[in-house]
Amino acid sequence: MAELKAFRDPTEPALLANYKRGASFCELMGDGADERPRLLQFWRRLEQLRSSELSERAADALTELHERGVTFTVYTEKDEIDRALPFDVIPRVLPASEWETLEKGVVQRVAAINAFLWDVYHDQKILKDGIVPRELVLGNENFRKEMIGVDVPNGTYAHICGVDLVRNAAGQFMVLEDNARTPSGVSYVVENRHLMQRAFPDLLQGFNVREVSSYGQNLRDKLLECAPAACDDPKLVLLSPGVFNSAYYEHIFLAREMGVPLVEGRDLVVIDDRVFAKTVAGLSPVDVIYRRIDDNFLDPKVFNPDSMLGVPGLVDCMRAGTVTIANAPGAGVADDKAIYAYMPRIIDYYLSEEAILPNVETHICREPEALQYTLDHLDELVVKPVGESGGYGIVVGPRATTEELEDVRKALKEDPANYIAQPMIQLSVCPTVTEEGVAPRHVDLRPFAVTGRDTWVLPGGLTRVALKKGSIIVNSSQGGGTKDTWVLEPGQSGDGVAGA
Amino acid sequence: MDHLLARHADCLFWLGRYIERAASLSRVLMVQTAFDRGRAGGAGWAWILALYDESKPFLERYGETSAENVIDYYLADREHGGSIASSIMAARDNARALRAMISTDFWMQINRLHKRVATFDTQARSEKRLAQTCEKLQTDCYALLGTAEATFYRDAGWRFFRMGVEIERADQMSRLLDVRFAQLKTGTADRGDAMGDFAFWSVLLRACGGHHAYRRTVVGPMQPETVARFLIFDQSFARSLGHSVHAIERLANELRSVCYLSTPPSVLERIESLRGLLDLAAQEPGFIGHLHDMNDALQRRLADLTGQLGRTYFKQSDPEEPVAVEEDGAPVDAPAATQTQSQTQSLD
Repeated sequence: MAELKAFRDPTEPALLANYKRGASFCELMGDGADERPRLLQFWRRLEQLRSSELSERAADALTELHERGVTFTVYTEKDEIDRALPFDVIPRVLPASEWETLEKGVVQRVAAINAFLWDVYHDQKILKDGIVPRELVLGNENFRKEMIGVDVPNGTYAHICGVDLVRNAAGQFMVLEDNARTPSGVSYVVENRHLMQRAFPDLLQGFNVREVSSYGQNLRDKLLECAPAACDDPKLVLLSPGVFNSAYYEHIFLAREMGVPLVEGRDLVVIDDRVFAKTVAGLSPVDVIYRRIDDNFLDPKVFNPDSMLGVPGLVDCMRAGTVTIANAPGAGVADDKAIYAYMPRIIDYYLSEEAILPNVETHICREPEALQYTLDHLDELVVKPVGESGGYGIVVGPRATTEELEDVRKALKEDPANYIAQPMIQLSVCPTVTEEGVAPRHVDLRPFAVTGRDTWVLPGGLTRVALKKGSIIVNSSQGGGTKDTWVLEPGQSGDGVAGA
Repeated sequence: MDHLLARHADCLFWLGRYIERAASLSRVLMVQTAFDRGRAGGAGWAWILALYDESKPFLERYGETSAENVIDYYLADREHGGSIASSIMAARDNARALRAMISTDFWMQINRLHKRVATFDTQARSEKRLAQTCEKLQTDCYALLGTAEATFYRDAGWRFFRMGVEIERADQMSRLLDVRFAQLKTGTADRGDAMGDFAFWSVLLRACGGHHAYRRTVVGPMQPETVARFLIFDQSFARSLGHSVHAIERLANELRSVCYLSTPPSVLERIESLRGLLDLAAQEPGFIGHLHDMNDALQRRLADLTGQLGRTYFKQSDPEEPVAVEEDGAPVDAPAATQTQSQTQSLD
């Protein structure tokens, strides 16, 4: 640690000297019941840093992200602006034992989601048994009747799944949302780690942190496991909407990490129920497509006829079993915010297991009792429109103005089925570099699971942090940033958990 | 799908062309700054417009052929597809579409160049600073080509990239050789001095970095004919037409022998006709008198080859647009206008 000490100005206070976690659970300090920090070893390591030095190195790290083009792109009428997602250099650390539970919980959840999708597109037993309301599934805008009766390889619909987790004031992890369509953000997980390795090698040194750079290889393997049975040397491509998509960098990243071509709809063509890529040597068959475009734009013959991004005839090929599309069209019915409320029951129904990761208590406003409860407790609840993503349209009751509350009350009465309500979770916090020094900021966690014949979970996942003081909305579109997420190897000494 | 996507090959080809084009345009502007120096009243700027056959669109846009306007038109005008700024933008658009394939180093390099070109200030555009601006641009383009050389994977894509560079280089060199003709045409040079004087050819040599090599190879006074022969035929001079055509030929052969792509007769014949043209000129004693005709023919053939590469490799596989095979090899008639292509798509 000699290097770290060299930077030390004896008059500058220790990094965490003025850190107050508040009422939330702190990822570093714990719930405060114990005098000792929850992650003692890591706390000690941080204490050796000084705030001025930290800010300086953090600024260098961000410049590097920009130069390397690890950015998302915002298009205005005139220009395009490449922005790097704000990155906070203080990592979020998960001890091995904690991760073990999370991993099991995510695997369980993904298994239930795939079983549910298979069922609703085949026998619909869960609907017949009245576990999930029929109209909630069949009337869902993400339900694709084109998928009925289609046998996808390994019964896998949600090949890539992101499960959004939050931690309440007691330190209990809960599922906030499932993402079974085209979850994004995994490139940041890997890039953040690489950045930490370059900018803060001294911080990482000695900690046995589980690696994340094998994501591309695992993704590729799992996707190829789902190739049509008739193929012995399956060809995989990544289908992107193109350079104007805000997640284009992630598409580049994934194509590179998997070593597969990054194609656009115009590069593919369907002839006699077979998909081909247009290459310099002519047409070349394609067997597995990891698509990063929404269902609606996938195939103008079946979905949105105006789409220029998709491939006409693609869905026919999938129905004919000549190509695997990941994630499968229609997987979105499982990550709907209204279906979410039924997930514990769905897990129990298919797996006869109790959910390892509990849901946040959810009031489904389409049900009259739940609507009444929501209207009566509007100022305590978080109200979310079911169809939106990216944190849009969310009203946080305890923080809303009277006017905002009246607006949402009106909206709820007009279209109750469009909303769910949840109690406000006091999200856990993590020490974060702010203008006022290191301060607590709320975080969530999105682990990524990839499924072929079975499921592999990337150790850790994306930690998003709400950089605005007090904010609990972590989405990048709403002022969120990211952190590196460390999962410690099991059994290493100084695991850092208090009492361990 | 072990082969390169047709669209990516197309992007690589044009990436190469646009970088080389930006470098060449800088070179042409450098010729003018050197040429203009110390002459009473200045030699005027109209010949640059004649060289690219762009007098009409220029006048429609600017009205007056002033130094300031011509510099703006060729250096910074993003509305003008043939400007340095537009070339760099187009190169970057192509690079963006290729990011999964090209090196991070290359992407970082082209971003830096793009950023500087996008923010040219009035000082960089001023006539007195033009030489420095152009020299810097040229060096940056060389750095970009060097980064590609040092980092690109040597697959078919590399050959298409290099093919783009060499075709553009030959095209631009032949335009540079035509400067004198353009000057005579626009009355910016004395008719009695049809082939130009020592100073003129010396400027041309310097502009394309050939002055020292010429001095080393050719002994005796600088004659228009010997300079022209050096710039056209010297195989060891990297910007000579002969060198470029030879490189194009080698790259086409490598597509077949190294990358296992078929190189159909339609492509090979067009490359042979390029070489044939140079061979013929080399044997003709008074060829310098027909320099303009040769340049014209060469530019047509380069355009024709580009079209054929497009039909053979870049767009061939779309069954919706069946490819019409041209038997007679009649070129697409666009000899004077610079070919352009950009890889942008409209949002859905």
